[in-house]
Amino acid sequence: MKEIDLIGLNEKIYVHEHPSGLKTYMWVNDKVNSCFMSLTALYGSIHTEFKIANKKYRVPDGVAHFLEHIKFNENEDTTAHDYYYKSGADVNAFTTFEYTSYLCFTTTNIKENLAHLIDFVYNPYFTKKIIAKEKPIIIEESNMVYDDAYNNAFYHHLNNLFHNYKYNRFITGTEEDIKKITLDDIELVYNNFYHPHNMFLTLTGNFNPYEMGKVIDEALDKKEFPKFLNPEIIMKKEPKEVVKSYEEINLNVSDTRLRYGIKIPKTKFKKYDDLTLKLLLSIFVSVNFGDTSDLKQELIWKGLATSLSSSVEFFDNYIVICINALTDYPEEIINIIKAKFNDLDLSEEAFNRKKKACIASLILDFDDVENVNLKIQDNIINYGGIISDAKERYENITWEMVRDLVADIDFSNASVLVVKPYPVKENNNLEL
Amino acid sequence: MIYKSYNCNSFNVHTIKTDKFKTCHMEIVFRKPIKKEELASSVFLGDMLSETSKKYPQHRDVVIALEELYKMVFYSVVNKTGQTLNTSFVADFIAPEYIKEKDYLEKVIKFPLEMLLKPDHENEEFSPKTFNIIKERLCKELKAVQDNPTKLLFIEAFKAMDATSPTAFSLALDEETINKVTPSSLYEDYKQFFKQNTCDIYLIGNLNMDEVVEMIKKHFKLRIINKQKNELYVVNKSRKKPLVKSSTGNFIQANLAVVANIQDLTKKERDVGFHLFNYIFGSGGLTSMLYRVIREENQLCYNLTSMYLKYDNLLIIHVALDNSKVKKAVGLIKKCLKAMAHGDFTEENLEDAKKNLLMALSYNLDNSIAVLNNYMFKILDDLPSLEERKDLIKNTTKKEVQDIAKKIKINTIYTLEGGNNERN
Repeated sequence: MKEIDLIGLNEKIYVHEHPSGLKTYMWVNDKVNSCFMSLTALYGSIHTEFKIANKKYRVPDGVAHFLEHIKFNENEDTTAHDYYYKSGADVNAFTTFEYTSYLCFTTTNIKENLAHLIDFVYNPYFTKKIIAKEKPIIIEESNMVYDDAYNNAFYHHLNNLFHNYKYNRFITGTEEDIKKITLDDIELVYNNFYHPHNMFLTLTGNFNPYEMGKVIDEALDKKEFPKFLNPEIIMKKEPKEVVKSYEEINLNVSDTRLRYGIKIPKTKFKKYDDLTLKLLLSIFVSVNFGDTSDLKQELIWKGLATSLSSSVEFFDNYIVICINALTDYPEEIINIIKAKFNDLDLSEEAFNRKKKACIASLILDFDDVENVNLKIQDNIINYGGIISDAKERYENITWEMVRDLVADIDFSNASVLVVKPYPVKENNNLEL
Repeated sequence: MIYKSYNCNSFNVHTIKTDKFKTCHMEIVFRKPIKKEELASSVFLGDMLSETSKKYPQHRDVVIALEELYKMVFYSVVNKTGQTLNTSFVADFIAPEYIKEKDYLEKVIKFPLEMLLKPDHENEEFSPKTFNIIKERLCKELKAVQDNPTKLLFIEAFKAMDATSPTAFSLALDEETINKVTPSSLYEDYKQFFKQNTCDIYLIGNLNMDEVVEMIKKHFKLRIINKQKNELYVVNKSRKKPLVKSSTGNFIQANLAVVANIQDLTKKERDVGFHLFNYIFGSGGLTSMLYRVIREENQLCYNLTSMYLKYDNLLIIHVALDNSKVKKAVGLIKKCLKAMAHGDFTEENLEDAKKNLLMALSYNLDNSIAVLNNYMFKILDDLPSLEERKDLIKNTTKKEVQDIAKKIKINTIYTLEGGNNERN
């Protein structure tokens, strides 16, 4: 068992590794009653084209999410839900662009619940009947996603930013994609990506990490795993330019919204690690477009926007800075944002205040077992391991670094999406 | 955890001292009986008092001050508990043991109190500029309800059930009501605010509570004593025959709400029995009766919700599904309710539900807001403590759960019809 001290935070992560290749990250808090577990496969919705032993494969969109649904079936009649219902634990799962995570949350029978999490995720029980039964349910879920106009706008904007990346596809897949999914697709993905070498386990809460290590060993020793073939995800090369610099669409929204996205190649900033890069950009965006910015205050005081928010997201080799506005004056807002990128606020005072707030939030991150679990997952997935010196990295950033960084960004490489309501139709109420 | 209450004449302070959390959570809650005509000013006022103050005339000034206090969080919430309207001001901050700065604790305690007592006003009216920003935001929020099928469904279903019931008083205000409020009328309402509402301050964290209460008294000088008792429970009238109503939505999926009255529950049934019933019936995830029948056996939907509205004496079931499946789903919901009343569930189902609720209660102890909420409702509604509720859950019988099912009567079946998104 390895122990990683999180410098300056007075926290420790235990790391256990089973010979099968599965690594477990554990954070202990003996003041709480609960335990949160997540078993994560590094396989998500965008991984639909891959190479195994020099052979190329392609599966329909939505496979990762479909697999997540039917993975709960343990045999013809039983699901993992049945087990956890009896055990008094909550079990769930979710799929993202990049990974799939199986969760168990409990305050009792921690060892048994952990052993069963490992057991059911590593139990490949898939049949044509199960797949046929699940399709109408997932189609309803996909329709639910489609009924959410904000989700729709999000995917549409990604479609205008990326030529070849698959971030523009619904994680659930569309109705057409879901109908195409076969037992062969599910087995192909499961057999190659749900391997301990491509997964990791995270435990946070009140337990003895050494006892947990033993439970993990015993549960995994019962399983047989084939040789890991190290499947290679095929990510097509993504051009630097956005697909569409401007588009207006109509969706089921009550008011006009706009998304102003800037596409930035990450390769420009090789001297920074991803954590530092994200922090620097987040502070820069927050100073210029966040709640404390002059710009936001001015737009709201002038009545040009009702709300303004911003985000910094990483998409493989690209970063997208996105400014979102709820506004009746999209053209004016677009011009103002454009002008702002040419006249940025680079005051050191605001930077130092934001930096202090970010360091404070590192302390707050360790106040909730679920949140810590998600943070650890975020570290492994996005940064390839536990960042033990996050606080030091936060403390070491300087406003000069932000200034240098910003000088290297081409703010004209932008894609603007204006989402307007549909033209008004009469709404006929019927009383039955 | 050490629980303590302080009577400070014009308000009470209820504290829980614990070193379990790194953050502290404080809620200043004002309560009064709900009146439809006063909703608009209450919603406005909640926003106004958290948006700016005399010291911080722009919202960005407020956020800057919060960042300087190590990312303290401050916001307002206006909501209903049955027939009581709550206007709450919430502050979250890092426990002082992690902050070296002198006077940090006094600064974070003083911040929300000063926001409440020193708003941005002049000549007997609130700042028109800030007022208009909030008004615009409320109008947009009102319109945005049309984008959210669940919110829209609930509003319409409760209105159809009984538009005069406090349950149907929506906090998503209508435009006419919003337009009636002015910067001067709102300031007039502010002057009455402390007279009309009772005030309780709840606080949890690793703090010297005696010292904190002295700080609160120093910075929160209210001279009004309001000891009114706020009634919580709404008695919603039942119907002989369910009302069936529908309207057209702008969505692909239909959204179905089945609203049912819950009649004459005993205290034990309200506090624990109904939660057990609902866990077996519909709120207990994929193993509950509704999920099994509607989703797993008939594949009619992906998600469904069965919500116990304790203080409205209602149960509401919500299903998002295809138009063509609505009739079948209604039939199945009725069938499941009957099955529960007939006792068509096993002792094992009950034991499993008990285990899950006990787990949820234990987890409550790991969450500072949940611990504080339990204490709040212990004071407000004599809700048994977590440990007492665990005992009540353990000794609930199948017959008791079955009897609860017999007290449920469908009132309204409302469908927001789908199939109308422009994609189709």
